[in-house]
Amino acid sequence: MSLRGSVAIVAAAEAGVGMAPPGATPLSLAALAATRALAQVNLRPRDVDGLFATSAYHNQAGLATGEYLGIRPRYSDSSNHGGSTPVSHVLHAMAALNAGLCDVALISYGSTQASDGGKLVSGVDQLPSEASFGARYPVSMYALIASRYLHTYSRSREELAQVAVVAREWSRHHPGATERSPLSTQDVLSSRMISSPLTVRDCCLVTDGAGAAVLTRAERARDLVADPVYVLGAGEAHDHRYLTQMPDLATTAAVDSGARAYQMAGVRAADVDVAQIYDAFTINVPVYLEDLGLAPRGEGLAFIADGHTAPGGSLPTNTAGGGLAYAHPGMFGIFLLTEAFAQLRGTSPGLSVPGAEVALVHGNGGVMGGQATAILARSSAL
Amino acid sequence: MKADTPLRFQECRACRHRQHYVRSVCSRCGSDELDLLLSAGLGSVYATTAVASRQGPRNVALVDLDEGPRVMTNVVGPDPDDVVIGMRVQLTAGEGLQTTASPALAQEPRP
Repeated sequence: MSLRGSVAIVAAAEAGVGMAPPGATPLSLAALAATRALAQVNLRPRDVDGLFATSAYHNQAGLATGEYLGIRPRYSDSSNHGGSTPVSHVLHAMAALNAGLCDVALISYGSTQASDGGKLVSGVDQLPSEASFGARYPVSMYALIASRYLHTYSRSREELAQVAVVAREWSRHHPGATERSPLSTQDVLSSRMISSPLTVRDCCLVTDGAGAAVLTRAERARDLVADPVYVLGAGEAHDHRYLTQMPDLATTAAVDSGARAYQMAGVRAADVDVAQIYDAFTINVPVYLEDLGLAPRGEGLAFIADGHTAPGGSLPTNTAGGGLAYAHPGMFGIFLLTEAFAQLRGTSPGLSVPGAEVALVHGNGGVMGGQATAILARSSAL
Repeated sequence: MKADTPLRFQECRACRHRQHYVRSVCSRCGSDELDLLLSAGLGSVYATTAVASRQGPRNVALVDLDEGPRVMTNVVGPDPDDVVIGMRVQLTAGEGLQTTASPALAQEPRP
C-alpha cells in the first residue's frame, strides 16, 4: 500500500519560545503547546490516543508527558534519536495511524534549557575512547565535521559563516525570533572561538521552548480543517552515535532518509518549494543540502552564497531563522515541523514563501547520526 | 613509537573487519570471534579542531590509523591551529592529554 498523503498534520503550535516565564518546566511548556495545537481543531488531550513524545529531561518521555496532560494512549512512542526525533515521529505516527493503532497522534516536545542555565541535559553519553581528550560535546564534534568538509571540497571559512548570516536575514522579519539583529560575515569570524573553525555564531542558540503537532488519517483531517498539511513522504536512517564511528564526515545517512522520503512522496528535490533543515551548527546546512539532493555535491556553500536559501531565493530555507537565529531549546526538530506547517498554510508570523506547496523538513540527531526527512504538502500538490 | 603502546583494536576472524572501540561482536558480520591487535601507532590526521579554553587552545583530532580504524586523540607538538588534515602522526604512550593518544584509548574486551 502507498502511504503517500495518507496522513496529515491538522494543527501545530509552540509555547514559551525564547525565555519562558519563571517556574516553567519542560512539561508545562510542552503541555501548553499541545493544548494550543489541539484547540485549533477542537480536540482535547483526552482525544489523543497516539502519543509521540521525546525529551532531554525525561527518559520516559511518553509516560511523563501522558501523565502531565492526562493522556492515556493506546499507542506510545518515546523514541530518542536526538533533535531529529520529532521528524522521525512523523514517520512513526504515519505507520501507527495507517495500521489503525491510533486515530489522533500528538507529537510533543518541551525544554527549559535556557532557564536551566544552558546545559544540554542529555548530552553526556560519550564513548569512553572519545571522552578524555578535552573535546567540547557536541560543538567540537561538529567542528571536526566542518574541518573535514571544508578540506574535502576546498571551501573557505568565510563561506561557512554565510550560513549564520542568512539565518539572520530570515529571523529579522520574525517577531518571535530570539536573535533578530543583522549579522555580517566578519561578525561571525570575529566572535568568540569555541572549537575551530566554529565560533559562537556558528552554534545554535540556547533557548527555552516547546512545540506540538497533531496528525490524523487524511479523511479525518479534511473534516477537522479546511487546509490540512499532508505528509507526502517520510524516511529515517541512522548510522552512528559516536563521531569516530561516522563513516565519512562530509556526508551523512540523510542520503538514505531523504531518498526514502522522496520515493514515498513521489517528488524530486526540484519540486521542493521551501526547506526546513536542522542547523544545529552552520556546517549542517551545506551537508544536508547536498545529501538531500537540493544542491550539487560539494557546492552547498556556493548554493548558499548565491542566495538560493535566503529570502527571495529559489529554495527558501529555515524561514524563521532556524536553530541559529530563531530558537534552539535543546532539540529543534519540532520547530522544523511547526514552521513548515505555517509556511504551507501562509500563517508564519515572519516572511512567507508565496505559493509554497511542497515543504521538505530534515532533522539532525546526535552528531549527525540520526536523520529523519519528511515531505509535506498542501492539498494542491497531492 | 613505543613497543608497549596501549592502543588496541579488534579484527574479526570471520570477515577480517577491523574496529575500534572494543565490542563483544563484529559490527560488520556479527561474529563474536574477535582478535585484539596492537596498533603500530602510525596514522594520518582525518579531521582537526583547536578547542578554546582558559589555558589556551588544545588540539583534538580524528586520526585514521594505518591499520584502518579511526580514533580520537590530541595531536601535540605543533601549535593546535597548525595541525592539518593529512599530517602524519605517531602514537606516544604517556600521560593523559599531553600524549598523542591517551592510554585511555585502550579498552580490554568484556567477557
